[in-house]
Amino acid sequence: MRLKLLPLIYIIICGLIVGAFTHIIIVLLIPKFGANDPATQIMQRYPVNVFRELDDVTDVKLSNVDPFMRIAICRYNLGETGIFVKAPLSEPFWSASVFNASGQVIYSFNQRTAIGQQLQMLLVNPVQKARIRQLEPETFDRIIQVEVSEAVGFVVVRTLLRDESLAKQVSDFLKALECLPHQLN
Amino acid sequence: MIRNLPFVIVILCVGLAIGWLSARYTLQRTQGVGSINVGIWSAWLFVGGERVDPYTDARSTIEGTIPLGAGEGLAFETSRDQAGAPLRRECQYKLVGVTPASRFWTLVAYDLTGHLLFSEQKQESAIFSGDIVRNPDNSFQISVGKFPSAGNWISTTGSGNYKFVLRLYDTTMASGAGLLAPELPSIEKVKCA
Repeated sequence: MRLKLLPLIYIIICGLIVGAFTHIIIVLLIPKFGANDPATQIMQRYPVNVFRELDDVTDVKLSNVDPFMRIAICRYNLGETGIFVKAPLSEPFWSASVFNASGQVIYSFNQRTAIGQQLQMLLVNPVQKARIRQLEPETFDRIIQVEVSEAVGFVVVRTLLRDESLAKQVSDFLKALECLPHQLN
Repeated sequence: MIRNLPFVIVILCVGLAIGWLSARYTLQRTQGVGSINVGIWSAWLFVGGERVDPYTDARSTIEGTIPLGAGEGLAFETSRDQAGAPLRRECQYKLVGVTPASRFWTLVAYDLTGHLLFSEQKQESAIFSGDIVRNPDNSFQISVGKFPSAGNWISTTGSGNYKFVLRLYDTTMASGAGLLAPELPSIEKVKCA
C-alpha cells in the first residue's frame, strides 16, 4: 500500500543507486574498451622493434597534436632480449616516453635530464635487469635502464620542429633512431 | 515481484540515464576531476602515468592523445576567457603574462574535439615561444583573432567554441616543484565580431 503512495521516492532513491553504479562502470570501462585510443591503434598497427615516424597521413588517429613537434614511435617486444633504444644523431631538443600496452607512461625523460644528453636507453624486464647486473654491469652503467613489467609497449620520441627549413634535419634524426633487441651475453 | 516490474524498469531507466549523463558531464568538464587548476588553466599532472585516476584515464582515452610524460613536459588547457565565457573563434582576445620556467613552450588552438585550427592562410593557429616578441621584463602579449596585429598574433577564422593548450616542454613544474604559485597568461576578451 505504501509502495503505491510513495512510488516517486522509491524511484528516485533506487534510481540514484543504480545511477551511481552505472557512472562508475562507464568511467572504468572506457579505457578498456575504447578501441580508438592511440595506444590500441599503435599496438595493433605498428611494426615491432623499429621506429616509424608519425606523419600527417598516418593510420593512427590522433587529436590534440602539437604542430611544432615531430614524433617517432617504436612498438617494442622484449622477448628473450632487452630492447636498446638509441639516437645516433643529435638534435637541440628531444624528449622520450616509454608506454605500456594500455598507454600509460612508465618512464619519461628529455635531453637535459639524460646522461651526457644522449638518447640511450635499455628496456629490460626484472629478470634481464638482474642478469645485466650480474654479467656486464660496466657496459650499461652510463645508459638509462628502464624496467618494464610487461613485455610489450611502445616508446615515443618527440623533437622540436621550430622551422620548416629544419624539416630534413629533424626527419633524419627520427629516421636514424634505433630500437633493437639487445642480446645479453 | 511481477507486480513491481514496471517500477523496476522505471528505476533502471532513471538510473542508467543518471549514470550516463553524470559520467559524460564529469568527463567533459575542462576543469575536471584530477586536474590542477591555475586560474582558467587546467593541467592533468598524472595523465598517462601509472598513478592516473580513473577519470583522467577515461578522459585521455576519449581525447585520443599521446600524453606528455612528466619528464617531457606539462600541458595546460583552457576553453574559457578570464571572465569565464567560452572562447569563440569569431572573437578577439588578448593573452598577457608570463609562463613558468621551461626550455620552450607552444601555444596551440584546437576545436573542442582536438582538431587543429587554421588561419585563412592555412597556417596553424599556434605560436612557439622562440618566435615571441617580449617586453623588457620577459612578459609578453599575444593578440588572438581574425584581424592582423603588430607583435605576436595568433590568427583564428570561422566561428564556434575552441580551446588553447599551452605545452611547457622540459619544465620543473612537471615534477611537482613550482606548482605552488605558477603564473600563467590571462586571456581577456577584446571584442566579438
